[in-house]
Amino acid sequence: MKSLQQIAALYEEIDKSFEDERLKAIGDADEPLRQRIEQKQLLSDQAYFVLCWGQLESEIDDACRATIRRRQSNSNWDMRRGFDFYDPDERRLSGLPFDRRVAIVLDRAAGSGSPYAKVISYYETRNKIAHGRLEAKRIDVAGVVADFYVIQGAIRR
Amino acid sequence: MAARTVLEELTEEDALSPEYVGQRLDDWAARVEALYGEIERWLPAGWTARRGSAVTMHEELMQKSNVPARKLPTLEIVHDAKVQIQIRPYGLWIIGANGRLDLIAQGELFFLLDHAKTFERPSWQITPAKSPRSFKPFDEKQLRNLLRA
Repeated sequence: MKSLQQIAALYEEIDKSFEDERLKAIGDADEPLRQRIEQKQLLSDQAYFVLCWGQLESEIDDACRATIRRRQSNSNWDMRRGFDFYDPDERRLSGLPFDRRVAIVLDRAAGSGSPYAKVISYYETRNKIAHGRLEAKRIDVAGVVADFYVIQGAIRR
Repeated sequence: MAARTVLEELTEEDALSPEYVGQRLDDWAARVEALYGEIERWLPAGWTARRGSAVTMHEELMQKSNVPARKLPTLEIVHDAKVQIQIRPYGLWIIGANGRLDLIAQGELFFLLDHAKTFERPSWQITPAKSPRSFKPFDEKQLRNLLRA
């Protein structure tokens, strides 16, 4: 997630300028302008969320590849079995859907609020944005970034 | 009703029923009203609060669920016959918070966010918009700091 901090800083800078404009629009009682600014902020949230998501997804993929390599190279068949189906060098990790990649590096049974559950919820958020179906009024991108670092800390390779 | 975050709420089900959306709105209106009541009780002598012009709430989820727009009151805190602080409901479905209000004090914008899960007792936190992760619990002390500013 080497670019996550930079993306978050850029987002914050842009959102601050939107907030300055919005505060002025509220002060001027200019409702149409306030609404236009809020719409821009929502689009900006979604765009930056997807950029941040890409960083986490790449982290999960890298950890998943590392786990596959480690298990494939284990001389103990009990550790190796099941993992020889996958090619860690293949660009798209074909045959391994995203939720299974996550389950290889995070505990799927950890329950509600766990890093696994959060990744799946954020993945659905990303999908909803991609299809124009997200109903949120805003995304707290800074909060999402903080969450992503917690998830990163929980990932096992 | 099971408590969950807005992130979970918006991603665990394909569609939320209009009844559920209505319950969430009732809960939001009640939380805003309770917060205003608390703020009024915290005000020192010489300060008063009054309801300002209402804001219309018609978020994406309400539109998709065919739930009509609602009006929510704003709060104005007055001293020396001048509005010193204005509080406006901003939105309910925010990924990362269970609702947000804007608080404007002396030309500076603050966010008032509820960090509790849905249908739980509110946990109001305040942060300046220019430093959006500097959360502090919003309590009488924080309000008095704003009044002194």
